[in-house]
Amino acid sequence: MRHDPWDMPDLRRAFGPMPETCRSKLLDKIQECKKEEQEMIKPRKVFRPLLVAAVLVLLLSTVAVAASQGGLKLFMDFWYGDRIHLPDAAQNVLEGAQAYTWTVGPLTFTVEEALWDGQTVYVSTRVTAADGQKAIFWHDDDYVPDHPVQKYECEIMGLPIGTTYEQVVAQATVPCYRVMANLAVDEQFGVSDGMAGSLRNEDGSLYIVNAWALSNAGDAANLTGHMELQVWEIQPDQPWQTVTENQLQPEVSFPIRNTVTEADYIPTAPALAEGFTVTAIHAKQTCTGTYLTVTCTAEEGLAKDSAGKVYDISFCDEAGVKFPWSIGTMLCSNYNDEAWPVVVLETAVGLDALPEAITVEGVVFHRQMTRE
Amino acid sequence: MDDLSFERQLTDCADMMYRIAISLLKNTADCEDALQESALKAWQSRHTLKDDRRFHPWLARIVVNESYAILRHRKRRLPLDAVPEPASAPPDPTLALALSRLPEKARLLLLLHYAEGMDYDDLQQVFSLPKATLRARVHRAKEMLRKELI
Repeated sequence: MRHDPWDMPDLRRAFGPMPETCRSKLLDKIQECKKEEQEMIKPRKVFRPLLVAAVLVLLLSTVAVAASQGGLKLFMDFWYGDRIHLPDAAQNVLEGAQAYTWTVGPLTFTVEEALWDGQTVYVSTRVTAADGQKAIFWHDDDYVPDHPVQKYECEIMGLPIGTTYEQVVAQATVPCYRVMANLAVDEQFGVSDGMAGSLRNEDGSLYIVNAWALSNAGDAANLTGHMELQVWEIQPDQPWQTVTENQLQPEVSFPIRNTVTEADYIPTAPALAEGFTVTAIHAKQTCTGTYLTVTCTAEEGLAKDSAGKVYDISFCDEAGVKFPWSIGTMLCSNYNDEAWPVVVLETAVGLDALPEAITVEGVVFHRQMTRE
Repeated sequence: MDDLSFERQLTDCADMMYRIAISLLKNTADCEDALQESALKAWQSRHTLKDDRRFHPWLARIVVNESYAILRHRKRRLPLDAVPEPASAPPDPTLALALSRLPEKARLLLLLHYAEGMDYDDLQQVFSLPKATLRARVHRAKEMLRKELI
């Protein structure tokens, strides 16, 4: 996880104290369990298998902004603003991506953008009403009837903050839908991780953005798979009981266009940062930015459970200005401490090209190209 | 772990169990049901806890699953005009409101990681997901909360 200057508040302050009735019922239940077991009485409750929370694939939330440009860039701009830089190369790929359009029930799904950097694929799908009429769409993963709608959506719809989905449905004078547009990449590409989210537009359309990390693209010329498209119409009198009425799984293929250059960066002096000495940086330039593989050695006395401090190491230009984030690696850094005290950090920064130098705590690392 | 230690640990974790359940269910009545079911499940399956040090994520997973089970059942049966008893007032209502606006899965991740102090090994045990995935999702959830609080 990246270092973020925003400090997380004490989340326990978001919860009131446990009610005494609740506590006493819990404690009573524990005693009851013991007693039943001691008396060899068969428990009254039937064991239910654990419900594995494996549906956590889709996590990002619905947000709302005005749509005047591509969905992916809008999406990233909204969430991260100028902290992220999307290189021109990425924009070229986005603009040149093949558009697919399908009609699923009353809605139209258009894949407007696809971006592939060799490790991560991003796809942006726009959802509109097929008849051009107004409608309200929610991303499948966001819609829980008694949960509050995101405040950005409330602002767009002119609703009080805290309005729930079912309240919106009850008040709506236009049809309401849950929708899903998910890219299912063919297995041979080795999907290892994924995220998705949506972006509400003022014109009523909805962007759904998929991101998948792929481990095995190899030398394939095209990324292939199929879209999983579904539409559920929400009935105002039964907001909990939506039934899948329309679905489609069309095949898709996106050309892989990814020029990669690579370089090693050699330090001019020992670079000490966050309890580590940064000994080497390897950089790989892709259309989404620059992937960095950073080798660090922990200073003597640093405990292994402090390995995560590598996330706090800043990578800057020669003037000491911190590089912006990249959308590469799906905005997530990782480290490997299996060879402790050596820790290898994998991260990405938003640059258009490999820089001539990278500085860490004022120490300059000079570039030596290894692949051009 | 012997039964007495197990009972003590379970009792000590009451507040954590409550926070998990109330963050998903949002009302005291369902929360009580979830905690009682969780206590029963934990007691009956205590022999499956192989490593005592993993008690917290092991128990958290049970509470999460029981809460989801109630949530799914509630979705099927809750009358539209039902008004569940709300949770007790939090010390920081602004933070509580911001947290409540997040999708439940994001809220749960933040709660377990930041409020309950679970590291990624613990979260992996709760969610059965790769650590890289969890890191990405915690990061995303944190960003969502930050935006809610701006």
